[in-house]
Amino acid sequence: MTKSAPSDTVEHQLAQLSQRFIQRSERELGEYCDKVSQLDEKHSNWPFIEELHQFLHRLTGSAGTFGLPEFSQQCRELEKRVKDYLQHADDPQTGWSTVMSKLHHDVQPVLQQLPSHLVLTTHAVPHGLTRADTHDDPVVVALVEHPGGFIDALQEELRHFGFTLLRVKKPKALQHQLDTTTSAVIIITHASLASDSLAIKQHLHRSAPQRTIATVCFGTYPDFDSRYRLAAMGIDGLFADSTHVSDVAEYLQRLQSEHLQAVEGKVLIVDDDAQLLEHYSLVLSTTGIEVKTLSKPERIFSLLSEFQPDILLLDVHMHAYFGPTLARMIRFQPEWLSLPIIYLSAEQDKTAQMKALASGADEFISKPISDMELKETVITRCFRARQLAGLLARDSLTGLLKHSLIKQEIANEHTRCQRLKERATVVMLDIDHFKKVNDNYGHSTGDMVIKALANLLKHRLRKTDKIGRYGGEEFAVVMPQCELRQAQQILEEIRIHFAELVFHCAELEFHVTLSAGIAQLEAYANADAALEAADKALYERKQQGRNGITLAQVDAQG
Amino acid sequence: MTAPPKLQRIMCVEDDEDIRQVIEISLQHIGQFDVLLCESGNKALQKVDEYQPDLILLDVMMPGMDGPSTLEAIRSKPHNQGIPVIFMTAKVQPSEIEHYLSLGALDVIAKPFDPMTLPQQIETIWEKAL
Repeated sequence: MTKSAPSDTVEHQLAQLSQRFIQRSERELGEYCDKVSQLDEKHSNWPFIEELHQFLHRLTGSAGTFGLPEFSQQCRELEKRVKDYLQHADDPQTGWSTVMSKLHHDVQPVLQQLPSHLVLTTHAVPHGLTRADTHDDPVVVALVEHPGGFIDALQEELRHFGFTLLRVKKPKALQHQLDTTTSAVIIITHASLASDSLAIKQHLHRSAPQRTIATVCFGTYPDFDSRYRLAAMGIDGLFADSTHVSDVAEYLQRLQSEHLQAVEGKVLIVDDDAQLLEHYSLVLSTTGIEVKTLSKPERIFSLLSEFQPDILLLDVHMHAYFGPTLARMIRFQPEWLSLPIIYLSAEQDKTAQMKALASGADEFISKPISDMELKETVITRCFRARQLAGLLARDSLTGLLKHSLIKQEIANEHTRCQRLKERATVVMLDIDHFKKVNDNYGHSTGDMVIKALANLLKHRLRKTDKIGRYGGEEFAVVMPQCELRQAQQILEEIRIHFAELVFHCAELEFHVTLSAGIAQLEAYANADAALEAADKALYERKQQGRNGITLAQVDAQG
Repeated sequence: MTAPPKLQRIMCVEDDEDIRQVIEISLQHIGQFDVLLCESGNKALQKVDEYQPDLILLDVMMPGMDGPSTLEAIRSKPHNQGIPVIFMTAKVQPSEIEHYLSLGALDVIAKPFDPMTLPQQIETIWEKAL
């Protein structure tokens, strides 16, 4: 019944190790700091410099693995500096006095402040553990310079969208910079530099095959042949350098969610062979797909409702039940009409297979199935199922959840909070004076403003937060495990960023602001009451002057 | 054609205790491999005959005997010449990678590595090499 993968304990153990690493590093940094302060100009101590270099090298290598990429980067810079000092060892005495003064002035202050960077933030627990739950996106967008100003404009505006940016003069410089991180990377480069960038991509793949790197090119929109050549070279995307930045941002986001992120999905496997189930779970546990298994089909409906899988894998011949009959029964209920059902069976007879499919399943996989095949099948089916479900559930302009679905999400979260005694907040958000934007600049510009805010929300909110387009220029957000103040802080950041965005229409530049109301979800009798409270707070904000956030008073609940 | 041998026993040589533990968790629990940890090149030399690993994961920069010297010492015994070695290092300049490969390493894994995907990374290298 449970996910038999050991990943919970693994994650726990790794988190404990991270804590231990932090404690140890804190202690050692203090010790090295003391040692540096005790060095004196008269007595050279080159072995100590060598030891300090080794120590920093070790921290650089380890810190990233323990989920402290920023700290690792800082150590790397200091390591490089100390390594340079070692060159002075050829000239032991005068060299030592130069190094001494550098150690005291340059190294010691950094050693002193380094422990303050030893903080595991929400997204900086051991790498790879919280991908589905990070606040910031770990993807780095690398911009390769090119005369023409397009990169300047991109850099300026992509920053507003919350991408982590890295700017370099030449593709070659990228290689060095990217070696220091393990993040996924999108390289943006002029089409004429495509081959250099692809070479970097290959190099990085060689040292870290798991790493995802995408190369996107821009240029004056080339002819068919040139585009074909670029595609054949293996670039991942191409846009004209006249493309509006918000469209580029949107494109990058799509690329990110389609190609660069860990696989997500849920699969329910029903089979009466408990041992086989155990094996399937174990195999799938390394894919990032969430697995639940069931050996007693009587419980299938409660499990379907509770777990909400993306796909169902169903054995055909079980001890007391016949898979196709179960499939037919599942399809009796409209809510499961779109659930992909895949049979897992040793049945080789094509006619029998077709007959089984006719009862409402989508596909047939023959047992025995290799571990690799199982992984591939489940990953691709989950991906496709999520993509389709996403398309149906999402607003076409913004890609956010539609009105009815965000309401459903808020209601689900309310129920969850009551059951688990957790806290969550609900936010209503509205673009200020949106009618004026439409009247002054036209509807297509209005749409662009809406899209920009949607992108900003997607980027700045946590992966666990659900965002919906509630009405024309109105958005609703539900933030699980979140206090009012915390939500206020996050929204405040978004509000400021949004106000800073520069929109263009013909030759005109303009800014737009937003207002928001926030309510503590579980403090209200039901989700509708909480939404109403957030809406009321939003209304109050509009009355008091826009471009701000108002918190709903909890004691005002009905 | 026979099926490629399955990767089961990995010897890991790493001087940093914390990293050794992460590797142990990663390779044993996630990768389901049999793992022997060594804290130095010398230790690895003592244990390699007895353990007979399918693969050695070797840190480059270690006090005392570093990774390349350890590799050389292990390979000096003819019966150990066939054991594939993967280097792990925070230094991954292309010239350095070339250098390590020229010493006879199968590949180079960059530090910091991700403990959740390290086993997969190793297996990919293993499968590609066979």
